[in-house]
Amino acid sequence: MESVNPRDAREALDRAAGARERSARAAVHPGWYYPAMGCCLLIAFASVSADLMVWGVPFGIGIGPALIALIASGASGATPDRSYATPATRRISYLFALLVVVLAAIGLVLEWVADMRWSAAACGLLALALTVTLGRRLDRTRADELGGGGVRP
Amino acid sequence: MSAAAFDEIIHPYNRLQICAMLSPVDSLAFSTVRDAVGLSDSALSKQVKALQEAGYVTLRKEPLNSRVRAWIALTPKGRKALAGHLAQLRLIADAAQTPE
Repeated sequence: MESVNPRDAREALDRAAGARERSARAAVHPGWYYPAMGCCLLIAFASVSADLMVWGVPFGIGIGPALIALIASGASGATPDRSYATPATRRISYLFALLVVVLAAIGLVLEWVADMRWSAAACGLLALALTVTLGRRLDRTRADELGGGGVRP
Repeated sequence: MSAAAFDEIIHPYNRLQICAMLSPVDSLAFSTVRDAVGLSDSALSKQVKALQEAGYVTLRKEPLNSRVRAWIALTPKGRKALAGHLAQLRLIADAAQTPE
């Protein structure tokens, strides 16, 4: 093993912590990312109300988000998609997935069973708000947990 | 938690910075790492190649318009080695502070 004295070890740790923190803080999604992702969800939900599910759902939950993720990573030079990297971000991601499924279920029941026209689109608006709110919270949490407080394995 | 183990491949100044930068993300563009670490393309390539040969990072190339964009990512083996190396450095640094 290369001889490393305590001072060198401390300096190396500080450098690594600095690099990690810079990277974590720089790797947040651009401001338009979550609104754009939310709009994709809104399109998917609204397509149910507009009887355009055939193209609306694949675009809203597949093609659209993939394109947005591609553009965002190209712009920032980072793919900060470690939504499950820490316990706190995992909790937020699971909560988001659960709430979207609940909204989708409510929207479909109201639209198809209760025959309330545009109720799925209304749930889509809630999903858009949820995406922006929880998405930004996810970014903040990830930056704090991965970037702050030194280097953690 | 990874066992503390000094890693000769990761320890050199630039490689430790590269690995630490990659640890909180899935991947970083080659140009982003180059600008942050302050190396030339060829110097960074050399460091990345050493890490690649150890199985610590992957280099993925994607076409971008008429050019190619390269993405560097830590592998699970690389993450484990980095965690172990940092744990070892912490032990060395902390040993100096422990009263005899």
